[in-house]
Amino acid sequence: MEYLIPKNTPAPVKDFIHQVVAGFSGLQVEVEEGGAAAGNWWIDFLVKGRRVTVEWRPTKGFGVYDSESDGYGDRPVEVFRNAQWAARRIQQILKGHFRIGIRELREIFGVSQADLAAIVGVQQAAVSKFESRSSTMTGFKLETLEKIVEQLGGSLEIVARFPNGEFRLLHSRHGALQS
Amino acid sequence: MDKKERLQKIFEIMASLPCASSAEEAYELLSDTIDGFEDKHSGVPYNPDSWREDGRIYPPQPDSMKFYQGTNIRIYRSKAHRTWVAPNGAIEIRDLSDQICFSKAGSDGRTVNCFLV
Repeated sequence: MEYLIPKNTPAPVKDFIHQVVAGFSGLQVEVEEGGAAAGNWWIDFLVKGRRVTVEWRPTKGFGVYDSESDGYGDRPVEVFRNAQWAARRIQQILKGHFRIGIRELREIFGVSQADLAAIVGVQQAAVSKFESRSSTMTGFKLETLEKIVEQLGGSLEIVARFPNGEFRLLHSRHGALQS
Repeated sequence: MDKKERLQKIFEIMASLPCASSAEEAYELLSDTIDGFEDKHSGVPYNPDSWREDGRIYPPQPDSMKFYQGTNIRIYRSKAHRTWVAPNGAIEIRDLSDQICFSKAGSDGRTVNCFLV
């Protein structure tokens, strides 16, 4: 596989691309410089007729766009602050894992099922069961999801949006484990 | 209306409005039309600071503008499109394979394509 990266491509973008393409064959990469004011760059990965688009902004990180939408005026559906996490997520998408569940989160963090089980304080089988349910976002307790996200160092927020306003239904605090 | 339907309506409105006579006017025409329509029909509040998909159509960001190959034609790249704006106020929205999705001439009657030939 060959791809050309412009000489002035920022280091984080180069690093991100190299991490994505490692171990992939048949992957085409297109790199496009954006606006000078924003300093943004566009990276398109093409494989088997599918395009996965990422926008990098120096102050925001890597924005991953919905690969199943070609809508004008779309924004990223996921944002990653570092190249390693972004690259792992893109590899998942390129392999067909479009939805992000606990398994995908765990793999992005580089944490094994056994490690996650130890962090959360449950059996590995429970993590496996939860991962299979969370892939379809059904059949699991919200409290369990909240605990896992917090133990991975994050916080869970659920927002209900209506035309005339929005309401935060849930906002957990950050967990003890820092990423 | 879903996003696709709303975008079609936005294009219809853009086509009916007077042509712009400069790149700045053209950008304002595009962004004001999109923002105004989405305020009324998207059901999603305008949130320019968030960089996450929220179901609303957003115009190209002004800071993502670059000039095409040393000319004074402006290009705004977005996920699946490039928005071209010529100095005479002409606008074109093309997909990444350069198929024209929308075109509006500037006030002098020339389209973006006239500048590229």
